[in-house]
Amino acid sequence: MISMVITMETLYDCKILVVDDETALCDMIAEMLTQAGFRTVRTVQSCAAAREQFTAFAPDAVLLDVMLPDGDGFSLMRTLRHERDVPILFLSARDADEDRLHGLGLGADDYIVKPFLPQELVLRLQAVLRRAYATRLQENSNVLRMGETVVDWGSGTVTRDGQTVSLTAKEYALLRKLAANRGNIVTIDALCNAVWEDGSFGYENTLMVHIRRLREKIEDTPSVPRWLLTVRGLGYRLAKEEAR
Amino acid sequence: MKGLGRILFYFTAAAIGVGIFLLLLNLFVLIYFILSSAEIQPTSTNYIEQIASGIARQPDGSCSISAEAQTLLDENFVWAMLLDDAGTVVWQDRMPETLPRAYSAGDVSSFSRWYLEDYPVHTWSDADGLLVLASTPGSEWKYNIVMPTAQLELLFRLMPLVLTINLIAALLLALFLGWRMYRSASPIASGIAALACGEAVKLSEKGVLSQLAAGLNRTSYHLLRQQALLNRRDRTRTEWIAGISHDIRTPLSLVQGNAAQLESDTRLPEEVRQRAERIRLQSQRISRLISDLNLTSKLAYAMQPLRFQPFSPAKMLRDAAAEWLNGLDDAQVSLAVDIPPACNALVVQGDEHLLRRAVENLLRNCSTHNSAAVQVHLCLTAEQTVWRIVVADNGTGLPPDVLARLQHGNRETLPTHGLGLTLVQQIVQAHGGSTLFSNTTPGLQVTLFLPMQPPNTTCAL
Repeated sequence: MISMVITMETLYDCKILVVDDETALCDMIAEMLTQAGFRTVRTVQSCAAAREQFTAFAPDAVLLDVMLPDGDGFSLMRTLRHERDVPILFLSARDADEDRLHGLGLGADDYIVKPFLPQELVLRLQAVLRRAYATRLQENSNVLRMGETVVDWGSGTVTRDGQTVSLTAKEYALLRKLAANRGNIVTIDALCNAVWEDGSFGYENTLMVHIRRLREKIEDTPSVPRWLLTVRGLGYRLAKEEAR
Repeated sequence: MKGLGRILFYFTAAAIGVGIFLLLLNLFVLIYFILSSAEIQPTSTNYIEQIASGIARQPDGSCSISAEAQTLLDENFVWAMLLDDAGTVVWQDRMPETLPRAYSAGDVSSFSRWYLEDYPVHTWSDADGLLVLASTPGSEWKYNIVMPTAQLELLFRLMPLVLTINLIAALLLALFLGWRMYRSASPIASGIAALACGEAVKLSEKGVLSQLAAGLNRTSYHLLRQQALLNRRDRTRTEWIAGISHDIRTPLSLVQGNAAQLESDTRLPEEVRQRAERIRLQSQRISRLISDLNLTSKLAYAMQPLRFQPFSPAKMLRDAAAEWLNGLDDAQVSLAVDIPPACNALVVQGDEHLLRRAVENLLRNCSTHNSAAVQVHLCLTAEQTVWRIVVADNGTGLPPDVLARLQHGNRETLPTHGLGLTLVQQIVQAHGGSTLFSNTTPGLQVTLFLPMQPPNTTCAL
């Protein structure tokens, strides 16, 4: 990485390059990203322009269409990656599994099939950026708030009613996974995978124990949870703040 | 090839049967003929004896014949003579002038065995002398068979052996001919089997069954050509649908994206934002329809590559259900997931992506076509060789025509609606499974029956 924004405070400081031959779509994506808070978005319509801007604009992430007038996105990605390793997300009208697997197999960070919803695009871009620049981001949201309860990711502690308790590594990983998908159901499988990095099922009972301990640390009444909710048969959900 | 063995057996049996039948027929005809000619023989002998007894030799040396004997003589013979012991003709009737009137012992021995001047003659010896009766020349064939008695006895003794040898020879011959037939028919049989599997047939057009082979070759050529044309048509259609589905995605992105932006623009009046939401929801529906249409056409024309891999159906169901619930705007839908603990460890073979698509379609169908407060039941069960997914709701159920089409699996016509459920059916069928759609009271219950090990698609004959 030769040129990199040294002071990247939030991921919205990331420069995004959008490559798609459809001008209207480019404009729309740029608008979406701007509305979502991204400060620097540039759009180009061809491979040639993309290569040029890749050097001139030095983007932190590239949204790339697979079919471009002067080449295909897969080859373009190889060229760009050769120059500098930045996150690349494909935006494609091709939904065939082969294309998806091909794109991801080449090392793309995500493969988004058209048509997509603005929110989906923004969320997936944010996730990729967070993953890629985790160490550099100095995000304010280094805490998780659940009413009066505050979880500090930095120290791995929970503060409630003026008392501070530490999270175990497993509890931390569980809560991190749930917080990353706050408001949504996270399946038992996904949680086990996040904690034990093992796709096989068999930790369900152990998982329940960890969840119970976690509830004791974050809930006022662990038997009637307010934040860490069970979705029977599926998994767990961390309620959003406004859901109160 | 079992059929050919049977053909060989019947062929041999038929050949032996024909042989035995002809043998018996000839035997019967021979016996009949012998019996019927045996009837004639005594009669003719009787004539001679009757005629001989009708001739009386007078003491003066002259002869007289009774009227009865004369009649028999006239009717059956052309001439007659009576020789005395010295060989002199003592009486004659209509005897040609050219014939000698005296015969030596040698002459008598010769004509009694062969012919007298071409006349076939019969002789009768009694006290009066030797009566000689002649038939028309050429009317009788005389042949004397002389055979040593020992040889004749041997012949009769050997008869069963000879017949047995004949039978064995006939059997071997029939087997040999049958085997040759089998050998020339065997490529034809494999050709027909290959034809049934849709493979190309190119048989050698030589031998007894060359015409059959040529016919098969022509049939194969025409069938393959037709198949190629059909495939091309199907491929064109599928590619066309894939092309449309690809091209429509970019404009749909614009519709969806712009609508979503308008929807979330707080500066706009609520009514406008609601309209934008309707546009967004409908464009999402179009994009799902397009995607379903694309997959359904690929599955219908076997152009969707199936990736059978081991996967956990319990995990797949939970992922699909969680994603579906996460994507629902209102929280009124209630989902009961029933996955028994034993099923958590279950690993099956299948295309996980496609099966998940089927489950997503079923779940979406519950939330799209029913009121917001629908209750959905998702269940996984497994037996020895089959596993089952049940998706049931307490909604309005399916319209009768859609239910009938899904139940009877009519795939000839593309559905005008209910494409998502047809796709479910196609995905399950591609896995060698079956679907059961039934309207419960109230609601719809869909059961997917899936084999643990999907069958290969190779031709099994």
